[in-house]
Amino acid sequence: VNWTEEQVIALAPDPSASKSGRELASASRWVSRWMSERALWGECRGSGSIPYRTQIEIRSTAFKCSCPSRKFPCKHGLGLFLMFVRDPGGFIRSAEPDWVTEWLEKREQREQKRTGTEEPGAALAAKAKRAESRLKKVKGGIVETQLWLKDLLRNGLVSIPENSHSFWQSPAARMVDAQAPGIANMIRNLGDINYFTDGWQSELLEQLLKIYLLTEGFRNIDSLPPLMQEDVRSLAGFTKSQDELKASEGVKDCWQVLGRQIEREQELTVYRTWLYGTGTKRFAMVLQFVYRNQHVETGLIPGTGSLAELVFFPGTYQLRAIVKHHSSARPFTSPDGLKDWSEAEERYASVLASFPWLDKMPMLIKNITPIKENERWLMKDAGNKYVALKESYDRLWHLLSCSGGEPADMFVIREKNSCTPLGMWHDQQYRIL
Amino acid sequence: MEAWNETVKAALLGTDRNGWSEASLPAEVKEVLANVNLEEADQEEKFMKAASLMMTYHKAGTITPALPQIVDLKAGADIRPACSKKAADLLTATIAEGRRELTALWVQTCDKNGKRIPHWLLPEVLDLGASNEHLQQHVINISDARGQWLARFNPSWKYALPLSIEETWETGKPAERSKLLAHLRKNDPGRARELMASTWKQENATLRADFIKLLAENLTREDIPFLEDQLTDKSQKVRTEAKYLLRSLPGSSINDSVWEKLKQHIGLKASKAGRSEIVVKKVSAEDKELLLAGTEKDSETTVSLKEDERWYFHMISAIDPVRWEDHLRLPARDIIDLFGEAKKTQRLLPAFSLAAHRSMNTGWAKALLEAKVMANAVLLLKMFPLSERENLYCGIMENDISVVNAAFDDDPGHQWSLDFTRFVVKLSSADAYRFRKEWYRTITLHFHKEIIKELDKYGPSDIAMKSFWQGMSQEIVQAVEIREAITHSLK
Repeated sequence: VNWTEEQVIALAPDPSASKSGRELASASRWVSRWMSERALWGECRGSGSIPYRTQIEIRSTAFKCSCPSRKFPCKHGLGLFLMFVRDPGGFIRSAEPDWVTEWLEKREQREQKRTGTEEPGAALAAKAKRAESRLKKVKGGIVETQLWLKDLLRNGLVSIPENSHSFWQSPAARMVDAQAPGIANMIRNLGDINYFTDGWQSELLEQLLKIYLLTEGFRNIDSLPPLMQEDVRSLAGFTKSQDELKASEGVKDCWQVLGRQIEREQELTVYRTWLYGTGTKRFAMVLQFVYRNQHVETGLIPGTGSLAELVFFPGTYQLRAIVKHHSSARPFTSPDGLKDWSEAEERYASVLASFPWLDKMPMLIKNITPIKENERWLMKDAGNKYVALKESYDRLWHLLSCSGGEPADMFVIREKNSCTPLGMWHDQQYRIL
Repeated sequence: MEAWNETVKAALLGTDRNGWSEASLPAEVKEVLANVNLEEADQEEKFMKAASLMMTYHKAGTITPALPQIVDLKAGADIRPACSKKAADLLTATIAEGRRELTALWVQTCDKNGKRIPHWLLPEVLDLGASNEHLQQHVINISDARGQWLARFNPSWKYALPLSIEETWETGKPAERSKLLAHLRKNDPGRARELMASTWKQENATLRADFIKLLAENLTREDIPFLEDQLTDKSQKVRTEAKYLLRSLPGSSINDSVWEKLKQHIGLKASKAGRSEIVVKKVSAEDKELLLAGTEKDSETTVSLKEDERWYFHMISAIDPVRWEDHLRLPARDIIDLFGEAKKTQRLLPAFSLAAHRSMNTGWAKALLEAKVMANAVLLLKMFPLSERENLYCGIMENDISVVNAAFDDDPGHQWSLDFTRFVVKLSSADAYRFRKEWYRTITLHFHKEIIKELDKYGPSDIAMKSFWQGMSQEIVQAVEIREAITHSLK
């Protein structure tokens, strides 16, 4: 598989690490560089007398280094990987030394342990009791939230903008107490609506109704179809154990990593990695929360393909998934896309019918041209219909430079009134935007 | 849309006052709502159930609007072939690592080899041009048609748009007009002068004076009539700037007057020992005023001069030095040596360097360098082809490499011979703490590639400095390797 420098640099925890990594991608800095089917390893000259031992597991792009850096991957890992991408011929093929074999074996054992553990009966009983108690609390909280919603709608929403941000804190805190953090978040987010721009009225009502639908769904959860029950529980904030999920059978496919969105909130970074299965023709989204400079260890690098098994979180609209197993990297191919925005709308509507909380929907769409109308940018399809480009979109210049005003096939995240392109095909290659 | 708007209006007013009824809902929503049990629901609950259905119906049925007309915004076809992927990766890396010198070299080499950058790198490269004026023309060339198209949308990249000379001159801001004039003066000096003359009467005095200063680039005899016209300008600032330029312009009446005056004041006489020596007469106040332009600024060389010396300095620097050979009937080197013998005249030698540079007189430049007249030596060195420059530098600078950067900065892509590289590395490594990373980043662009095999041979004797030099050696190796990769990948 041909990795690109961009893909390697995308693994860096911060710009300074990527800069140092590039600086270390020089043969003169390395005492030795080796490779096997499973791994790359090398010894890098540092300030001390003993060189640092750096190793990379190719299958899941995992790193290990003997340097004292807290960054992950460290500059040595990035430098070694960059050198491999630039010139694999510079690596000597060899049997793995003990220090590499030990690490690889430990990783394998850890993975097996993660998927193979079973909880004892007593623990299961205690867990069931806790779950029952929580259910009661959530139901209690929901009754109060519904009353609160009714109060708001009885009095009318017109004076809502006069309230401060703290107006939403009390009902949100109540739902935190009721152990429904998902609903609490939805309430808290009402405070983030921009009440100074036209359109807040529709936005506010929509969000309130989504909360109402969720609470109503939870109130009647037993009468809902099983998958919708999962939707409601998940939105309310009931998490699913990843170990449990990993124990179930996943979807094996060649998953193409179409893009990644990164949101930073203080020291927490949220990674949304978007994938498309070329065989199953379905999308997946791997969500990861990373604290400080920890590395996102999935081996899912935007712009690459990977033969992997993904387990989807249950629900009517299954999108979120976790990686159960990686077997090998695969070349990136050009998948089919929707022919225009009308077809995209149909797809959106069909999901919405069973999942009214739908916000973001990934789409591959053909022949889209960015065009400027007055001061806003629109994404026009072959039939001259358009969807606005998201206002906060920060890769406009790259989108335009690759498009040149010509239509291109793109991967976009469709939202209610706008879209965010995350990648496009340019010169027969997929480019991450 | 209408039904959803009605629902929103009702929510704004509140269920106590809105008088909302299901009648306003579309038939499809009503049909589904009919299956919902609302018997025990209060007014608010009824509203929320109906509004939730309405919301889903509204969102699912959003019809993407069609544009009233297609706006043609297609980019033209590029003319140049794209550079290789390897070259593009190197550019991405040098930008990301903040290696400004190697990035500039990349851009210049790409342009020189007639290549263009891949489309996806256009934003980074156009940004580069926005922050580095010297690279702008190269950036414009390597950005090709797609770059010009893209630059239309971002005001920071305005520099990359095709320039309409007349339009910019007539309607541009003063800074834009000055920039245009400077550009033209470099490439088409006559056109620049004509442009100035076309609107001369409408310009204010400050602008007129600023524009005249720009004529210093590529100054020729053809500028004399225009400049002499300005000697009667009503603005003192304009008159002095014109006088300043004319003074060093052979063929102008002021330049001739300066020479006449110098001839009268400087001559030869025989000393008691029978040797020739330079005689310099005192300058009258009237002469001083007549020929000084009034805009002369003191440099490092002139600041310590006395008033008379300063006058002589400015006058000598305005005259082609070859005239002295006729006047004193001696070759250049003898004249330089005679001036160098007496303390009084020794201080005027740097003025001959300026004069040699102004008149591009390489014979005098060489004689001055050989006589080790160090002031303005870099200016003189740069008058020679790069191949000759290395020997001249070694000959005159001996153990001083502090100006080696400046002496070769007119061609960052030029590679030194291995011997000259060794000369520089030997001196810089011996004084390792003096030359920092930034200095090496520029200088290594010129290093002969074979030097990286011998870096271990050099270095200071001090142990602490030795380790510093080892770190620097690694930097040098890396920079030379990247430079080589850039050169090969852009072929």
